[in-house]
Formats: sequence, C-alpha cells, structure tokens
Amino acid sequence: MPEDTLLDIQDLHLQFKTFDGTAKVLAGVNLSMRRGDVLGLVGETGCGKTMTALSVARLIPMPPGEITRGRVLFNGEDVLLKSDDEMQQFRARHLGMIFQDPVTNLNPLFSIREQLMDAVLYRQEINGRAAARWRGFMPSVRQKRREAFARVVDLMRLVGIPEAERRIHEYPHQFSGGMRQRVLIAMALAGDPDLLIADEPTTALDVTIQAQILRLIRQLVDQLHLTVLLITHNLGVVARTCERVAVMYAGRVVEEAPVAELFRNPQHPYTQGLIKALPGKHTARGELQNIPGTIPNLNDPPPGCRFHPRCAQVMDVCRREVPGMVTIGPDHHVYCHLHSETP
Amino acid sequence: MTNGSPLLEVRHLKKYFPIRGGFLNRRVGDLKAVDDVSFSVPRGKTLGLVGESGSGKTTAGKCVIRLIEPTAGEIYFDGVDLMTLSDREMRRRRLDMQMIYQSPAASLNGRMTIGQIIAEPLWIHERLRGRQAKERVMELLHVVGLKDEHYYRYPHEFSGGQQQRVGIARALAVNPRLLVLDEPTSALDVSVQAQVLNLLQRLQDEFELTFLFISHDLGVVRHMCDDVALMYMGVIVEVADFETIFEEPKHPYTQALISAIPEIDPAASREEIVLQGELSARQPVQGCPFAPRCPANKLDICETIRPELVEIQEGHQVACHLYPAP
Amino acid sequence: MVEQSESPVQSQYTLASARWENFRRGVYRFRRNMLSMVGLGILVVIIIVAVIAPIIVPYPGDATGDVHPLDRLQAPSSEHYFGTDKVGRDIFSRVLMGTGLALQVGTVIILLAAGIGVTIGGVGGYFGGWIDDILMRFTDIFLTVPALILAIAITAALGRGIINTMIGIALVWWPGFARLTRSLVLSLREEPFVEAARGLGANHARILFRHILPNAVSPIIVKMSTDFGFAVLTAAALGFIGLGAQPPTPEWGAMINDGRAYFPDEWWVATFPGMAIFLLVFSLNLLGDGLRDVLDPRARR
Repeated sequence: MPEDTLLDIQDLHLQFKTFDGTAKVLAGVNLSMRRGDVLGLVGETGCGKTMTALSVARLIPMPPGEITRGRVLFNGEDVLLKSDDEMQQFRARHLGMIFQDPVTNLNPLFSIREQLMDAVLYRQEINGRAAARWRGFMPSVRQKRREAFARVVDLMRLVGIPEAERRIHEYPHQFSGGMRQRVLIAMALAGDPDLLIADEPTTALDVTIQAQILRLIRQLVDQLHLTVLLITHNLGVVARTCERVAVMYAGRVVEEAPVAELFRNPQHPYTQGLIKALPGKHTARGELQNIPGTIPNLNDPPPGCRFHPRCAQVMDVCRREVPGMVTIGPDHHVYCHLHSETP
Repeated sequence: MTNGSPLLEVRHLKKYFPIRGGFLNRRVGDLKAVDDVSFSVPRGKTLGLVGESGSGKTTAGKCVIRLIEPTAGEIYFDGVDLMTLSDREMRRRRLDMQMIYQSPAASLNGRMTIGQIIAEPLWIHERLRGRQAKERVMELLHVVGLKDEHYYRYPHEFSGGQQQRVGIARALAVNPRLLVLDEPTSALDVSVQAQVLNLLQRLQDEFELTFLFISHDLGVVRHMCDDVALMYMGVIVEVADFETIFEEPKHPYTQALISAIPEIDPAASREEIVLQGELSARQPVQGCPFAPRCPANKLDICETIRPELVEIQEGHQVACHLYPAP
Repeated sequence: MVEQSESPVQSQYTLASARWENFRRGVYRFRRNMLSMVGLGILVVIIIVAVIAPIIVPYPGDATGDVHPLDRLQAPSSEHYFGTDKVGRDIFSRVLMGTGLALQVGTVIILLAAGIGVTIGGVGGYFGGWIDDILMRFTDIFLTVPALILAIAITAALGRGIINTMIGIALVWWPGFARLTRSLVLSLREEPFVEAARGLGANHARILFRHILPNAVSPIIVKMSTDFGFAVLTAAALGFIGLGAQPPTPEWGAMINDGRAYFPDEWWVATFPGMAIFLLVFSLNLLGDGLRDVLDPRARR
C-alpha cells in the first residue's frame, strides 16, 4: 500500500435485516484513496454507494445494519474498531460531509451564523483539548467566540457567498438552494477535514447552479488540497469534477480508473452499458442502448458476479465465481471474468 | 396526420398567481409564472419545453390541458380553442390529452392495485368493468412492457421505471393524441431512463402521438425532441429545431445552459460558461428578465425594454436585443 | 428494440394474495411493537369477557335488577370477588356485565362522530373556499364550548338515558374528526395522483371518495381507536353525574358514582369499575399506535 493512502476500504460486507430477509447491501467493496484524490463513486439507485460512504463515517444504524466482514482503514487505523466516543471525535476531526438536500440539512429556526458557529466551536472544542493543555490555559469564552466568528466569515467567503458579513445573520429560508449548499459546504469544512464526502451534492440543483457548485468544489480542492469522495449517479458530473472514478453495481465496485480512461476505454460490461445508455448527440431515435433487466434483489443476490443475469457476454464461470480484481492498465482495475487470464 | 396544421397551438398564454400579504391577505402583486407564451406542436412531433426550476415550464404544460386554469390566452387543440369550452366539454376533450408525471410513485394512488389504476379511466369514460376491462388493462400492460402478474400488485412494490410504465399505460387507456410529459425520467436511473425513453418513442410511432416534453435535461431533450423552446422566468427566450439549438444557440442563456450540461465525452472540451447568480423569485419590472445574470455584453436597452421573440431564420426565434429583427 | 420487462417473474399473483401480503407485512410491523401487542391482548380479553359475561358471572341477575339488601357492602371475598354494593349486588358480576355496554357505547359514539366529522372535514377541505369557511366556522363554534359541558347540556336537553348520552357525546365529538380530516384532505388534494385522476376526467365524488379519503383513512382509524377509550370515559362521566344509563343498568360511570359515598372505607365499590374503565382506555390507546403501521401498505420495513 502506498504511503500516502488516506482511506483504504477492504472487502467490506454490510447487511440489513428486514421483513423480507437479509439484504446483502455491500458484498466485498474494495476502494482506496490517496491524499488529494478526487474520486467519483458512481452507480444507480441501490448500488450501495451511499452505504459505502456512511460506513466510513460509521453512520449506519446498527441494528438493523451489520458489518459482517472487512476493514475501513483511515490513516492506517481501522475505523470499525473505534468506540462510539472515539468515532464522534474522529468524525469531527477528519470528516466533512455534504448531502443531497440542502433544505432539510439546515435548521430553519436558527440563523446561518448560529449554525456555522456551532459547527466551528464544536470542532474547536474537540481539536482544542490538546492545544489548551499545551498552552496551559483555556482561552476565555468570549475570545473563543470571536475567533470562531472570524473563522465563520472566512468560511463563508471561501465558499463564495457574497456579502458574507451581512448575509451571515440571515435565516436558511432567505438563501436559495445553491447558497444553502454553499453554507453546508462551509459547515463541512469547519473542522479542516482530511476527507470530504459529498453525497449527490448537486442532484437537487438546477444545471446552471450545479455548474457553479462543481466549480466551487474544484477550486476548494486546489486551494485546500482536499481529498474528496464524490458520490453521484451522474457520469457527467464525474467527468467534470473528478480525477478517478469507481463504478459500483449491486454492492460491489466493478471498475475503477482515471476519468478520461474510463470514459474512453470502459472495460466492464456494466460500465459500457451505463455510458451507452446516456442520450447524447449521436443517439438514434428509439434506439437508446439500455441494460436489460433490473437491479437484483439484494435479499437473494445472484451467485458469482452480481451482474451476470443482465450481462450480454455472460460465461459459465460468471455464474459460479465472484470475479477478482484484474489490472488492465495504469490505475485501471476491473472486476470481470472477461479479463482474467483463465476465463 | 391528415393536414398540415399543428395539433396544438398556444397563443399568448398567461398564468399569474396572486401574491398575498399584508393586512387581510390582500393581493399585493402577481407571480408571473407564465407570461405571454406562444408555441405550437405539429402532429406526431415532439416539442421540448426546457428550463430550470421556476421557469414556468410545468405550469405552462398544465395550463395547456387546463389542469391549471390559465389567466389568459388561447389554446387551439385540433383547431378548437379549449379556453372557450365549458367544464363539461373540457372533461370530454381531456381524453385527447394526458399527462405523465415527474414522480411516478406520487402520481399513482398507493391504495389501488395496478389493475384498478389502469382500469379507472376505462370505467369513467366507457363504463367498462369486469372481464372486458381486465382484458383491456392486460393489453395496455403488455404495450408498456409489463406482465400479467403485475395486475394485482400495489404501486409501492414496483421500481421507479415500472411505476412510470404504469403511469404511461393509464394515460394510454383513453387513447389520447397529445401527451404532456413532465420530466418523465428525471427521477429514474440512466439505464431505466433509456428503457422509458425508448418506450415513449415506440409508442409515439405506434399510436401517432404528439408530445409536449417538459424537461430540464438537455441531453434527454436532444434525444427526444424535434423542436425545442427554452423558457426563462415565464417567457420563451429561444425556439428552434433541436439541431439548431444545440449547434447554433443564439440566446446567451441557451448558450450557458448548453455549456452547463455535464458531458462525459472527453473530446467535447468546450468552453464552460458558468452563470453568476440564480433565478430570483420575481422578474424585473422592465427589461429583459435574464439581464441581471447575462454574461454577454449588455446593451443599454436590456435593462429597460423587454425583447420580443423575433424570427432570425426560418423556424429560429430568439428574444434577445443582440439579435434585432432583420 | 424489444422492450424488456424489469421484474423477476412471479406467477400465481392474485388480488387476494396481494392483499394478504400487505396484511402480513402490517402484522409483522405491528408485532414488533410490544406495547401494541399488549394493548391488543387486553382488548381481546375484554371483548371475550363482554361476550361470555352472562354465562360466566356468578350472579347475572344482579345486572338486571336483583337486590340483596342483606349482603350490602361486603368486602371482596371468594364469594364476591369484587365485593358488593349498597344494595348487595355483586360488583364482579356487574362490572363484567357492563363491559358489553361500554363497548357498544364507545362504538356508537365513535362511528357517529367519525361519520359526521369525516364528511364535514372532507367536503370542506376538498372544495375549499366559502364552503370550507362556513363548515370550519361551524366546527369552531363546537370547539369553543367545553366538550363535556356541551355534552351534558345536549344530553340534559334530550333527556336522560343511554341513547341520548351517546347522541350528546357524538355531537360534541365530531369536530376533532372534522379538523383532522380537513388537514389530511388539504395536503392530499395537492398530490399528483389526485391531479392525475382529475386529468382522467374523474368527478369530484370519485376523487374525494376513491382517491383522497382512502389515503386519509389510517390516521382517522388511529384517532378512532384512541378516541374510543375517551368516549367510553366521557359516557362514564355522564353516567357519574346521573345523566347516562339509569339504574339498574350496570354502567361503569354510574357504578363509580354509587361508590363515591362509600369511599375510602368501602373502597371496592368505586375502584373495580374504575379499573375496568382504565383497562379499556389504556388498551385502546396502545392499540391505536400500533394500528398506524398495519394500515399503511406503503410503509415497508
């Protein structure tokens, strides 16, 4: 493993107990990110992309969820072994998260200032425990608040909110969708996170606003050397924002490659299907390629490769064995029997 | 497709919603959701009505079939002005025009089985029930690619794509001629979206349907539509056939919107125009509604006079002062 | 291109099996809620008791007019499990015999109140405008007068007796249902499936009764089950002040009233009917919470 690996998910298995049985939501997810990576995690509804991210933050309710196997190494430490208290601190110190819906993630009863101050002060408190001991005294509450306020205004400027000093006293309903998403990004950045997890950050926004937010994320990456895990179902968003892509299908990563390589030279049949299904300039009337069938029932997933019932190039071995990772180019990995040496 | 006149022609359509406030909830102003919009859809063709949220495209679509009562305007459907019809006549006329909704789950009554949902229009209009109705429903299920055994299921047991197929089957039950499709695939995954789009085009050919296709996704619009009308804050800013719109967009808003489509084609590295600001809730009282965000070199009159939609080429209309009438 | 259907094939699917499947899911969710199960358990026992009371109680005649002055005010014993009252009637027999009456009273009141309330609230919420204004102001008038006092006034005006009590209570009970139904209808009216029905040419009655109200039914049923207990309680209160069932009908409220004079020395006279009321109200409240889950086919978990 290279030394600058920040996040390394190994063979992660997650299941949920429901009335219909046990849903094997994640079945051996492998994913690693280096510092400074901007990785797009793409896949369709129910493929487990959000669940993977929530597992890293340990935000999955257990029960009914249960991680049955695997490790999530963050800076070499296994996140899954931490106690709940440690996890709380870990999240505050190392993780920043933004979600799809900028409306429900802000409390309408508090001003933007109060909500951002809370985020900053909480992070300061957690990070400040060691610092205060080192300095030998606790800074007065007022000074702390003053520092926090300055930081909040800085954050608002950083995420491109005009007239930060004035708008900070406003309430969420006075902000538009795009501006709210910026506030949430500011909140996520409050603790100088090592890893920013962005779960469908632009899905609820209009295209022109989406373009603004994506550009902001790119700027922040350059400015703050952020590591970003961008979860989306939109391949175009990935193409515009990320350096690497991992494609997930039914609880497993099926292909991983640099962005340009993946779109130029997709190797997994599912990735190929996904790209061809996009309506574009050259698609003919009524003849959009589609992937036949539907995503499998995770309570009773197909054996072997989970994509085999929908795959046009299915072989016998696909029905029996889970495909392992095959490296077919620099940084280009695919999990498919078509590419293993002994098909 | 017997004659050349368009199936649907909308002239000067307006829908104002009152803004209430102040003492005793008085009407203090109007939200001009649709402000003097005109367009027409030829028989068997697809017109794309494109815009961002708040542009008034959905309101316009619902006004056309009078699911929302327009404030003013003329809507000619097959030569008849719908605005002159009584409620009773309109109810019968509605059979010719049906709507497909954005959220397939919410547009189906969760307390009814699929069979009951699709059979409902048959009962309302033809008093069909029992065996006859069931046979027709089964037929419709097959037409949209569903199976017999789906008849007795409830909507929540279906995936989004299947729910949308049910919505389509219900709309087809009355043999409509016009379908108003309100973002029919925006809630679906790409591979399912492809299935539904293919289905829609197949049905269009098979049943000679005319589509009013409302969407914010220009990629889908490019694939689906013959003509495209772009809306911004309740007005149409540009109309042309889809090739012209995508190859030679004229209005600065159209240009920005097209550049904002996230494309995956690595070769298509275009210049990206990122618009400043956002759609505000109210239009400027005068001038071009797009002026506050316009990245182009603005003229003085942009702030003071609202540009009219003018034809700059055969079939290509733009509402922008940069393109004065020839 | 051939259209592919998306679903795994499941044959032998019928309407009955679809309903049964939904019901089973509901029961599963219901059973995961311990308290609802307790509520249901108590209620089932109460209903069984109500049905078989005339057979199992030791002195059935005590509920219909027998008196035994010599045995008055005896403490609970193996002969009289709950003791006896001021005229020597066996309280155990009377409490059990009163169960059926209490259930009937609750059922009638709730059905009547829900019927009036759902109609008024549904119509007001659906049509809106001046119809809504008139109906809701009418509802407000009922809400401004304290319910119990109004019920007492109406019952007193109609004359004593159990039937008049039920009418009186139902007439003050419906505004709650009207308000609830109206709020549900107001939000459901904006749902796309309602608009779709309108687009298909459905008339008002069809939209209201086929599309809107079926989707409003679970909160209403939940309210019916929780209100049931309170309705019984209110009927008991009216019985307590002498407006309800007339002697010798074994009505719990009236029995508590009888026992009032002998409290606390002869505590059993009032306590056992009181506990019966408590048990019934309690079980229905627990049940109401659990019902919410069973009734909604969309809530999957």
